Amino acid sequence: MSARVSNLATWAVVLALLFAVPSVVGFDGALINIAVVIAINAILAFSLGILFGYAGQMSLAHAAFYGIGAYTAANIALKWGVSFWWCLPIAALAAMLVAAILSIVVTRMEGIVFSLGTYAVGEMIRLVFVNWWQVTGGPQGLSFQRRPESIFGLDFTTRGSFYYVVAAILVLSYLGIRKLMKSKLGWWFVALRENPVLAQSLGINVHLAKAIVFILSAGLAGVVGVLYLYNFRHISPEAFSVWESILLILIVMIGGVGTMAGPIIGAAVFLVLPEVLRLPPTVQPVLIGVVLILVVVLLPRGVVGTFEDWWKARRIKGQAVPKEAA
Amino acid sequence: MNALLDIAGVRKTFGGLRAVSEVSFTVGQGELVGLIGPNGAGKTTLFNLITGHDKPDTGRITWRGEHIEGFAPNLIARRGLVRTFQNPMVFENVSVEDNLMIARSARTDDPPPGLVERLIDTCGLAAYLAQKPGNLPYGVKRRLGIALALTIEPKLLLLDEPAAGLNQGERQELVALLRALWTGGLTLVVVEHDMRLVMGLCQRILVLDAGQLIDDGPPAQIQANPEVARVYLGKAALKAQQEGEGSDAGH
Repeated sequence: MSARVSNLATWAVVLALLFAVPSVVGFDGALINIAVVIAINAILAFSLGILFGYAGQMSLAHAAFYGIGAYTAANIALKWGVSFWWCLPIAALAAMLVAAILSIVVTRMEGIVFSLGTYAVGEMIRLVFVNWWQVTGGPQGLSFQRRPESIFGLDFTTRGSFYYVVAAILVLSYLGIRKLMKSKLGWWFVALRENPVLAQSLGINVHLAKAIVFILSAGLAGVVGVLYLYNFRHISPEAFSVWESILLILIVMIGGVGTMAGPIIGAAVFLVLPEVLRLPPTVQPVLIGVVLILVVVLLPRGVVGTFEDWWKARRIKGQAVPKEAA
Repeated sequence: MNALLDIAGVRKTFGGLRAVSEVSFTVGQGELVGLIGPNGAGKTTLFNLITGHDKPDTGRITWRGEHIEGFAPNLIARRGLVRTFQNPMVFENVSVEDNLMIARSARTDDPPPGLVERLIDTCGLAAYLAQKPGNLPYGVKRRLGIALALTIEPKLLLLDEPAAGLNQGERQELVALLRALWTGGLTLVVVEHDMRLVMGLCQRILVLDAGQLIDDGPPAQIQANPEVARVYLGKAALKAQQEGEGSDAGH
């Protein structure tokens, strides 16, 4: 019972903190922008976290799906005036549709071959973004001036109010993924990561599980594409390249692979660190490389994973664990 | 006796090597069958063919009246034909409890009430539930591997060298476990190198050599077959014969 109470208390504190952010950092200005960008990247890292963290599939095409979401939303909003709120599900479906078609091929690949296959897919989609200029605006990309429409009498044109939209989607995706990971399908994803041969020999359809996780993660990435579009109001192919996918993998790894809070922490560390250090852009890739090496060597379980291990070890030490005589 | 599994003229070649050649046998409901043979005789290949991890070149594999050769492993497992692996395969980086949760999720329905608890008990896993298998003794890992297979309630369980790497005490525990499963109505096929274990445990033994089935019968017949002794048993057979003369073969 006390665990339930403390759980609720944690949630109340987290929600209150999320709610209070604009009041603290201001409803407009650079700080709220950083908060929005962190939240957007955290959702993106969540979406990759399902695929890479839970199901163990290191996809290098992830940013491409987020690009498909962004370009879809930009086109339907500019051409047909589709509202922000309808863009969210439609962009998700577009990304899922492309993922579903590609899953026929990529789900037959395993391990490093899957990564290479998705590398090819990611690069292919980026080339489509570059060359299909009628739809994508080519290498220059598209400018976009629309703001989210007000609903329920709420106005979403200010930075602070947009923050609330992003924060709400962050919380909803967190809850959705948590529920998913406790379902049968969630265990299938873990089985896929841990040992596909054993999973299959127990009757789990690992190809189906891989296709589902690939499509679901692409769908959430598509939603993030819409948020990205409305936040930056300009999209171009470089934002959705394989390099971006690699940075996302790094965010998930910094936070902790296969943990719920990892993507948020990873996104925060990853985005705040360069701001705080004020490094010139040319040095940033070097810093990223150094951070990656340090994480792999020192914190293979990431910030959150390491904390979890430490916390568990502390609790186990506290109890007298009955050791069974071998 | 009802034939559960019927293998007819199954052949598998890898390049020029004939790993399994024209093997035929049946396994009836309720049998406890041992499968022996020297290294490279084709035992694991045969298991792979039966459970869909590999496809036979020719021959039929019939499971309860249905041809299953070339089926995906998950489809075969769903039909109640389940295997364990030579190197104990478990989900290494999640706790023993989560391992069992994964096995539960592999079922189409919910396991009958108490099944998982019973398996934790019979496979001796209660003390390890919170631990990750990576740190556990080999014997525990093996029992976990068996528990995972049993969670999906197979009709026939194929065990690939379940005693390999176990110490004497662990072996005895394993034999007791397998006997209990068999008495509980499970049909078992066991690949094993430990001759005393196989002779003591199984009612019927298949002998594979260079991909061919060279004998099929009760332990006494196998022990008496000079060809079996020549290709495989050697000294071990004589020793087992001297020590195990008249000891029970099966129940």
